[in-house]
Amino acid sequence: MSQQNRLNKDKSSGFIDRDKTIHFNFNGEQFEGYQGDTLASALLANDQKLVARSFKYHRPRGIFTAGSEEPNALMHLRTGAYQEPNVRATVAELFEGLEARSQNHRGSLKHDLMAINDFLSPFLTAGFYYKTFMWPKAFWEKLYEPIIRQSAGLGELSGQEDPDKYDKGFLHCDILIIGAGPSGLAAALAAAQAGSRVILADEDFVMGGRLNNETYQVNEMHGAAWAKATLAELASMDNVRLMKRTTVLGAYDHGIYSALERKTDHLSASDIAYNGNKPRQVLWRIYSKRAILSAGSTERPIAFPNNDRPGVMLAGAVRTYANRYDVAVGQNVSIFTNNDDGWRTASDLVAKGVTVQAVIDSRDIHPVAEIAGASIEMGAHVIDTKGRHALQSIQLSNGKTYDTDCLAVSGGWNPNVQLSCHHRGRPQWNEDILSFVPSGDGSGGLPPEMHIAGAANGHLDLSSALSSGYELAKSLSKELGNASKVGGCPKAESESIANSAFWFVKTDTKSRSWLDFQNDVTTKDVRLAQQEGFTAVEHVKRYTTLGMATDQGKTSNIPAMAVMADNEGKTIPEVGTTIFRPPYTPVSIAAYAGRSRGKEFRPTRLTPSHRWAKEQGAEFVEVGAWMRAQWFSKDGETHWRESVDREVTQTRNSVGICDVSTLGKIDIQGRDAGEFLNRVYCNTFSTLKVGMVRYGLMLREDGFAMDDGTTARLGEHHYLMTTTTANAVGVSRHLEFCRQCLWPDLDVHVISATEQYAQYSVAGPNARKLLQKIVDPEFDISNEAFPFMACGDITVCGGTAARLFRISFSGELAYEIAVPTRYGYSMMKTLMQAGEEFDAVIYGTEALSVMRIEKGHAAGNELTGQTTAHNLGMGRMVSKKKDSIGNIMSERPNLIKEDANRLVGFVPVDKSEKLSAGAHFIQKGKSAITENDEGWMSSVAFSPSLGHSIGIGFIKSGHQRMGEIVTASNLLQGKEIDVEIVSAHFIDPDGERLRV
Amino acid sequence: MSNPHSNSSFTLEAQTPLNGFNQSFDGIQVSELLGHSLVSMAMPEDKKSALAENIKAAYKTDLPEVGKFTISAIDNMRILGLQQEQCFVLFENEAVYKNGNAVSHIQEKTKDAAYLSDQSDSWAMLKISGENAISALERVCPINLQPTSDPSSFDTFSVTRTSMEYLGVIIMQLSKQGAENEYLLFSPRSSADSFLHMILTSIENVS
Amino acid sequence: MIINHPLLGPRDSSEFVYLGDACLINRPAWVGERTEGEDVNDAKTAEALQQYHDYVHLRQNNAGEHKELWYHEQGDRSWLVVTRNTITHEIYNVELAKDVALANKTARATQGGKK
Repeated sequence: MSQQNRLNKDKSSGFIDRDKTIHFNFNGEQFEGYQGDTLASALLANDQKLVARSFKYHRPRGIFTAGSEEPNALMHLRTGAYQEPNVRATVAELFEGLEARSQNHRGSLKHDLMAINDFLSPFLTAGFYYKTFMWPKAFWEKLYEPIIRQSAGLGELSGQEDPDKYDKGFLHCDILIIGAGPSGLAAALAAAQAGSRVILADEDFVMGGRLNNETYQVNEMHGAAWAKATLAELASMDNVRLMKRTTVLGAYDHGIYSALERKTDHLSASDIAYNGNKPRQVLWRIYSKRAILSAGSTERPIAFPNNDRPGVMLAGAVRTYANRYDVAVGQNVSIFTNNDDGWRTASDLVAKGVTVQAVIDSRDIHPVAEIAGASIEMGAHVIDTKGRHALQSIQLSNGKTYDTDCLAVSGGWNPNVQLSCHHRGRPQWNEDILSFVPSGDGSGGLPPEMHIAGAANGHLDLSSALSSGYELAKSLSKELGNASKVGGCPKAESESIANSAFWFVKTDTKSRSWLDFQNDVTTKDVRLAQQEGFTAVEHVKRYTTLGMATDQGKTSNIPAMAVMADNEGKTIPEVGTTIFRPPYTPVSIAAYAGRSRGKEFRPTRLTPSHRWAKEQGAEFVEVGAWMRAQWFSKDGETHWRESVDREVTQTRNSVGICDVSTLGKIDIQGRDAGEFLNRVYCNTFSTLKVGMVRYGLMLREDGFAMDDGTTARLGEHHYLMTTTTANAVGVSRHLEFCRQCLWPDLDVHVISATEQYAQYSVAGPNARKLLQKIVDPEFDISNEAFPFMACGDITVCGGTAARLFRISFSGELAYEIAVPTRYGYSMMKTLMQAGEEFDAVIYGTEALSVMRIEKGHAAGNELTGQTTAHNLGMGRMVSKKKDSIGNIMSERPNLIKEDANRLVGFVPVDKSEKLSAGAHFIQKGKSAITENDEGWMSSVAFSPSLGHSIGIGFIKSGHQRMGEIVTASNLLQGKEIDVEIVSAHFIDPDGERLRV
Repeated sequence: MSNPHSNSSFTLEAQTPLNGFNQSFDGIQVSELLGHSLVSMAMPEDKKSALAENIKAAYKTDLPEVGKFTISAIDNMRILGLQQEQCFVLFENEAVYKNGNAVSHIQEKTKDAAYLSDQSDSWAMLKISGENAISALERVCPINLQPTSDPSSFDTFSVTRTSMEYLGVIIMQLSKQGAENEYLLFSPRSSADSFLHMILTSIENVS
Repeated sequence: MIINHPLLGPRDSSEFVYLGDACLINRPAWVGERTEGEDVNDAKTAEALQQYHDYVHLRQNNAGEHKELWYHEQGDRSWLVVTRNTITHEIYNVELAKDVALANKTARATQGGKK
């Protein structure tokens, strides 16, 4: 029979739409439910009591709650790459075609082969892993770890890439209200009417909280109807944002909250596609001036032997299924309570026409109410249950036994204090409600500007919940200057919430009473942990894993503390609480990644000639966020070296062109610009003539080299600095620091010009000839008029403004020409066209690197942050005639000692050998151990100009050891090569080519 | 002439960072801002009043506070108060844009009271407008774009630099209060493709 | 975290880059011009080295109120001195580092004058 547990239509709550039948599949079987159902309510409607196996003992388990606190009913949802494990059936909305599978069993759910663990339970107690998998050591990798890995975890990941999209976002409000139950709704209405900008977030797909689950009256109408009307009013207001399906996950600094909105989790695949494959979830960062935590409360169970059978449920959940979902979770329900609220379940069920078998109250008092047809057992408690896959009977302390298919248990209600503890706030014990409430405002570590309303603050009765939310919102709005007239406080009858401290049924040591259903922790485990010396609450938690499952102990923490207190003869507040941390409920990692996946992980920066390089078949390499052309393969070239060798040879023989736009360019202006540069570079710049360029070395304050580059003087008060590609951002930051924090009295201003210019290196003996074809004739760039290290404003191609710098990284006659970026693509094409007659070549970063190694120029491999000007052979550049960053510290005796490492060149003695970067230098005949280490090879290349491998590197007193043969030892490659120490200037050591 | 080989038969063609992108979506219009020049204007403390006078004389407008921009009908100009000592001058003048002489054009007005640097080619510039513009932008923009009574709220004539999806972005609010939302967004030119992709993804995710 | 920028109002800390102890503003004075080859062990240089050693390497690491440098890189490019409680993250004061540096300079100048 389909949906045999559904109540008659005339008892309908209005929350499910009986005209919209939904088909779904659970463990391969087809079922039907209605629009408005959760997976849990639909399964219960179809009398599916057994839905899961427990983590450790593989005990049969059923749905235990009706909310996000659910410890048992975790499922795989959807299939294939979309499969998601550990979805709580109690919050998963039913949609057409939903496919769910139970998890954590081998074989079928009913006949789980791992159920043997339950019989082995005497051995699988607390600390089992710590005690068992200790020795022998050799067993760990081969035996223990595979076993543990196979048994660990509940659901399974699909193993495929998550095909869903995720997004993030930022929201701002005056007052964030967390939870749209009675107190949250009352608060939202008052705050919105007062004129505050309100965000009301609730994890449920229908707002209203317990008003939708109960039969309360508010303002003389049904509570659910009042909620609906209030929501309609809020929705019509411009200053309110209603966010259902949105869980506030964490409280961060200064009023920032994170929240996850589930956008499409409730839709079928075809509906998602129909709506344009929008992101599945959005992770919001909410900036609030004030926050009201109105997260309600969660019912706690009572521990008694075999309290984990399918059919044992929280009493509030049982009446939620009846009142909201029109589902009778049993035909023959019994209630076990220690408080008055449990009786509501009995009366609500009777009103819905469900048979109540017995009401068992641990208190020896007068019965709270008359429950038609039910036996009333006062001062009694449940001492055992029976039924293998579903509850069949319960046994009472007074010797009576009842046949029953559902036991609704109520141990009282715990305020949902979690978010109030995210700044390490410790909740306080409240003896009236026998639970913890958030510590008072202004003390005990509440997140600043968080205020607590309603049941979350211990106002468990409806009337005070409503008024606490209302009053709080009114006064907070006033604080924020929003004082428009607010309507009256919603009114409700006060109901009785009397309760008692009855936490668990004392038993012999053999029987097991469950505390943490998800991690299978029993009262016995807690006792054992304490016997073994783990008495502190944080130790018990970790030793037993209590409260460490995905539900973070929402239903188990307080009962477990009661057990600890009893064992130790303490009170519960003396036992203390554990710390709650975000997130409030589990979040998929993909939501935290948002869009930042794969290629979207970070922005990509493209050079002005990128499109052209792509057309030429360039191989690209990522340099920071930049994509740079590494080399350009021509037809017939089968190895990258062939391309690079050709690019180098053609450049050195004629002319080559390279996009160097990625170098950082910083425009520096001001009356004190020269003085400023004197202070940030170790060498002098104030003496540089206008129209000239100088190489500069920048030190850190600790005396080590930070960055290098050329700086051009464009005018009396105007310089243009270049930085390495990698350090462009860092140097800008450093210059701003120097300008603002160190020398605020200097008149100097900086701005990045990196993006403004497309800059190309034109290098080789024919460089000038090529440029003369495009530089407009009124600009004389002859050697005499425009010598080495000159710079100037020119125009090209008939009037386009450009800048020309005669600088060289390759060692050839070379220029860098800069045009506004808009002309970057066109300029590259033009240069190549103009260069056709010279057989001009385009070269990439590899050829660039080969040529700079041939010239012995330092680059990133040499400027590692661990090398000094002295190491680089530039010690004399550090001027002592002026103050500059790093000037003093670079003189530390150890940094300038005679045998410090010096940058020199290396060639293999056997020219056919290939050098390797990273090799360490050892004196010939000595063994390759740390004590004999004399330095390292930093950069190597095959020099097509010389026809063999060359390298540069650092070696002790290198400059005094020319001609010496040492061993270059690369222990990683198991390679030792004899190398000769030579000058690092392999090509044109006197720099004649630069000056022709 | 010492450049006997010079040959002005080569001409350079200009490209815009986003190739003139222009598209309408449900309640959102996105288009590349074309033909605008941008000049950074650093203001030495001791010349600020001189500069203000020069600007007032030439453009009949004031220097902005940090976080705000001022406007002038001349050259459809906006001065963006991005830093305490530095503004950006954004203006529309076809000839100036084409000739690339934005700095000298402004220098005529500022005289020696400011240090100028051309930024016209440094930024990809998008205009985004429409009733759903805020919904799209709130997916990436940490600045509060909702109109509020707050004095710090980002309303008309507001400008600031912030970060969106790891991109530096300058955002300005163009529309008058109550009118259709209209924003200008600038982001570094080299990552123009990522910038446009970021905006289009946001639109796709909400529309 | 939110930093209440003195010019821009409250801004998310993700726009900022953190440097550390604000004592970095107080860079020691220059030792003065020296000739090439002058003994680095002379008393003047040795004292300067000691001052720089302290400046470069010694930092307060307070549990509690602490002055630190933050750079508004994705904002107005200002360096800020933020007085923050490192335990609670409460921010007591935010100043432009340039103003702090100028005030320090003036203070030092007046002190020097008195001596």
